Amino acid sequence: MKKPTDKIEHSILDFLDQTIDRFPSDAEREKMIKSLDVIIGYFRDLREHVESLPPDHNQKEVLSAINIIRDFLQSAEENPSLAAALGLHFEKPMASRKPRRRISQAEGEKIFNELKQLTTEQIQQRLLDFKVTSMSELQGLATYLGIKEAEKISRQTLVDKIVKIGFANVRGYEILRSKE
Amino acid sequence: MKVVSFINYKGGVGKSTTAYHIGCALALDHGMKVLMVDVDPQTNLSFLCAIPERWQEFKNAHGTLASLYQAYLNNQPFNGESILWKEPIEKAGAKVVHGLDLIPSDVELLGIDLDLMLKTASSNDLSIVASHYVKQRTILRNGLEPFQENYDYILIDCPPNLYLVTQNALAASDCYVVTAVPDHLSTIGLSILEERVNDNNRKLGYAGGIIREELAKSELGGIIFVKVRLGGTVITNVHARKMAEVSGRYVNKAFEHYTTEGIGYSEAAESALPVFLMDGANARRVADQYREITAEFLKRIPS
Repeated sequence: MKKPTDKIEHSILDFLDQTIDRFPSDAEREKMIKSLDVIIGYFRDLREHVESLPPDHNQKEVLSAINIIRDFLQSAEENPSLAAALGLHFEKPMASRKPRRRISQAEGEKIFNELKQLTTEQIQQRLLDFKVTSMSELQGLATYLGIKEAEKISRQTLVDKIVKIGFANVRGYEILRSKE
Repeated sequence: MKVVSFINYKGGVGKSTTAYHIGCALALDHGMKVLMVDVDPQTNLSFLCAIPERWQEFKNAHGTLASLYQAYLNNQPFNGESILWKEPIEKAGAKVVHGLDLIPSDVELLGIDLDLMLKTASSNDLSIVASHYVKQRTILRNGLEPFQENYDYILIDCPPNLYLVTQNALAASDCYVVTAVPDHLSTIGLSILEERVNDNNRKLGYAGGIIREELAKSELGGIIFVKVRLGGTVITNVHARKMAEVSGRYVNKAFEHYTTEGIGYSEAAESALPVFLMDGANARRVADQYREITAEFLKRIPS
């Protein structure tokens, strides 16, 4: 009863024979390795690119710098002698361009009353954010608070003045009075 | 490192404003490390550096100069670093005077002067009495000791009196600077002030000698004229005469540079910012005056 064993041995050999045939040749193997190297290189580059994207704090810094530059350019645009001194040239506004809307005393008062509900920190953040508070709103608020030269100073300086003179100092008097 | 007290027992003669602006100019223009110490219960220097809300937050979290004296009165150890406020001057939330720190004051210092006076040492032993006398006047000096290495200048703003808190400031100082308006009432007190400070130096030196502790004397570092009145571009007669008189009496002590009367300071004070960081012609004029005074300060009192 040796036959069945022989049959098994033959089938294994056939299987191995076919399997060996299916293995890649040296040339194919080399080609595969090269392809994988290219894929690995692509993912490594991708990782580096993701790593080099700016983190949150950098994005905030850039945004803040943009705001400062925007304010600075606005100040220069409104002050021809400063612009000339800095060698900046601004195109004269087109006749059809709408003038900046000036907000009324009443609107200034309304904004002031809204801000009064917030903490000093929150007021500062809200006023510094040009997306939330426009420059004309800031200037209207400054006029309401009796802050002069509001149109000649940068956003940062104007916000600092509004926050300190309009809110923080008054709150300070209350803090000190409550201690007496 | 130099410790300088700004002093005059007359109020309203620009002590806090001058100390503050010299401190800011040293940090901003000369890149120096400066510690401002407010020992005046009026807290003017503290409120020139920060808005009251921030001061209150700092006080609640860390304490003020009053905490140092309270610890002494309660015989407790005290870490001076705990009341050190790093770079308190801010504009729209951003720190704007790097290198300038503050030890803030508190209205509670008013009561502390009295408490210090009430803390007596009754004894027939002269060394015990002398030791108590020295201890009462070296609380601030000991409190500032950990900071000696960290700063180029420590500037102390004194209250308009010569009680124990002020005597502590003098005992901690290498020299003192007097600010004065060049008018009759302001300058008449200069000689009295100098005499009193010398008297304090003598008594402290004597008490220190008994307990064999060497205590440096606080010398007059200079007199700065403030609020000088101009008629056009020329100093008015009365002020010019008084300035000449004081310069003659205190040879080489009166600063050549001075500040003039103006509104730039009050605008800056309202914003808790030094004039150097303000816009406008008034602020620029005042800023230039303080830059010149600071340059002279550096020559007269090098760190």
